[in-house]
Amino acid sequence: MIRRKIRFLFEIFSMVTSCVVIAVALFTTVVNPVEAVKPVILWQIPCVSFLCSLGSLIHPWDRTPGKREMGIRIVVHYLLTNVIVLTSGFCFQWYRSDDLGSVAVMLVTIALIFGVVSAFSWSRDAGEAKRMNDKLREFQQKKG
Amino acid sequence: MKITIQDLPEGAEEEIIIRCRGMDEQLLKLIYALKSGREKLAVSKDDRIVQISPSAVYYFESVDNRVFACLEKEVYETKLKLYELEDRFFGTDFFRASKSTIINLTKVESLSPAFNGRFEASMKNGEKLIVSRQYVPFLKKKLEL
Repeated sequence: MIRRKIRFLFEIFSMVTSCVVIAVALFTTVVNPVEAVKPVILWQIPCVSFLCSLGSLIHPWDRTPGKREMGIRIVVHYLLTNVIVLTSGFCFQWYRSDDLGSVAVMLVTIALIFGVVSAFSWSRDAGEAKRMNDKLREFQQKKG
Repeated sequence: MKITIQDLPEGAEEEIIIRCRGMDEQLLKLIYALKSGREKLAVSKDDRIVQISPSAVYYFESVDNRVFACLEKEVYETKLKLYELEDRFFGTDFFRASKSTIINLTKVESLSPAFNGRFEASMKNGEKLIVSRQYVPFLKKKLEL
């Protein structure tokens, strides 16, 4: 069980880190071009990604929540991700808190990454479901 | 394969012993057919006890410490706990789908993704059940994935 949880966390961590790297690349070259980024960002990105990945543990592992509870947990997870990224970003000076535009760009970036990671997870599960359905047909055909 | 049938004295317990070099798929099917074909499950409804064939059960569900056997339309109560049912039907078409359900795989119409690594099993009677992510690896193993 712990191994499966660690594996799940690592998958989420990998996805979030990839998205954050792309976001930082876009941010530092297109949105707000800078001549150079500080090497310390190479530590900041995985740290923030790891904290965000931990947020996914908010969803129960061994029981089935109802639709309402699931919806609430998704919203709480999203808000928690915002708090983690905005707080970390403030500490690491990724944005200026007195500049509303800068805060807005952060919020949009968080929403996009959250959406991309969720969509990627969904499409991976859809692929898994397709494979399981194919095997299910074979299983039921064998049973006659 | 040699088949030996022994007559037993009155009152002696009937027993089937399989002597083999290893378990293959055909042998497992045979064991399953023996287990599920002969076995009946005692369940109750409205103070009436009836025997049902496990293969008719779509799923078992535990609600408020009571366990129910859900068939296509009827629902019966069983005195067995969910873990006892899990042990009893180990190696058959049943699999644990969540802390509160055991599903008969032959009664599953299709599987679709639910949020966050869980899957939704659409049953042949139209009901929908969740396979929690803790038990997804067991389902995949059962489907030889």
